[in-house]
Amino acid sequence: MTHITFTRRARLLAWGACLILCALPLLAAVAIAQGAFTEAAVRDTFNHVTINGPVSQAALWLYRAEAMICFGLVLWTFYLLYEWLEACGRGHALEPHTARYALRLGQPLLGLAVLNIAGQTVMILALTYGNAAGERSLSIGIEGYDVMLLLAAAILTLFGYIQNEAARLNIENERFV
Amino acid sequence: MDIIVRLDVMMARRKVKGRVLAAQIGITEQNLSLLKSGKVKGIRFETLARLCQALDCQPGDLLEAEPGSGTLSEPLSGAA
Repeated sequence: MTHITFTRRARLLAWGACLILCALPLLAAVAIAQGAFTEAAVRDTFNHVTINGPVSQAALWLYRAEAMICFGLVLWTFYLLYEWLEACGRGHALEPHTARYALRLGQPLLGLAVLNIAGQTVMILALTYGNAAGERSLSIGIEGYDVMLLLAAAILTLFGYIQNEAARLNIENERFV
Repeated sequence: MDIIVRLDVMMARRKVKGRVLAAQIGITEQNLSLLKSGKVKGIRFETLARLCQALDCQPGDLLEAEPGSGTLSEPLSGAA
């Protein structure tokens, strides 16, 4: 792959990331307008959990807070992805500041995985807290989606370290005449 | 032991300007200036060969070893 091909593809992918970054808030607004944060939506999401009585306001706001934090992390991921691809598209692939974007890309994905695992546990506890004694639940589950997020975070962080090393070697190489 | 670059001396002897020499050997004037002042990390053999060809000299005419910080206390056995 030539340098021009690489930068051209990086710019295309950057545009794609930018479009997704712009579309996500609109999609979120549509989802909220269609009742994504209502009690019915919570019951639908946690249909495997026995919830006696109405969902408490605390549980509802906890669900909304978790969803907003996850959404923020997704936005941050796409923002870092856009910046990384944009820098590569400008021909700065082997520079330290570009490598820092790759290094940081793994962080929101790791946060998403941790939040997903912990959030599920906390939500189930919050939803069943109003149940009678003996009917409350505390469960910790790791789904395939969480494992994939953790794997992606690990791979991207490792790639960031490799790109950082490549940038250091590039700087050293440029100091050879 | 420090490596001293004597490129400016050889350029003066051959009466060659930096811009001309840089164009002839295929490096930028800035890099040539850095090389003259010894502020580069190293020099490629290809660049050294082109310099020797352009200035009609040997590598030893361009590079000189001088005792400096971190020198060995005495040369290794067998060395002149």
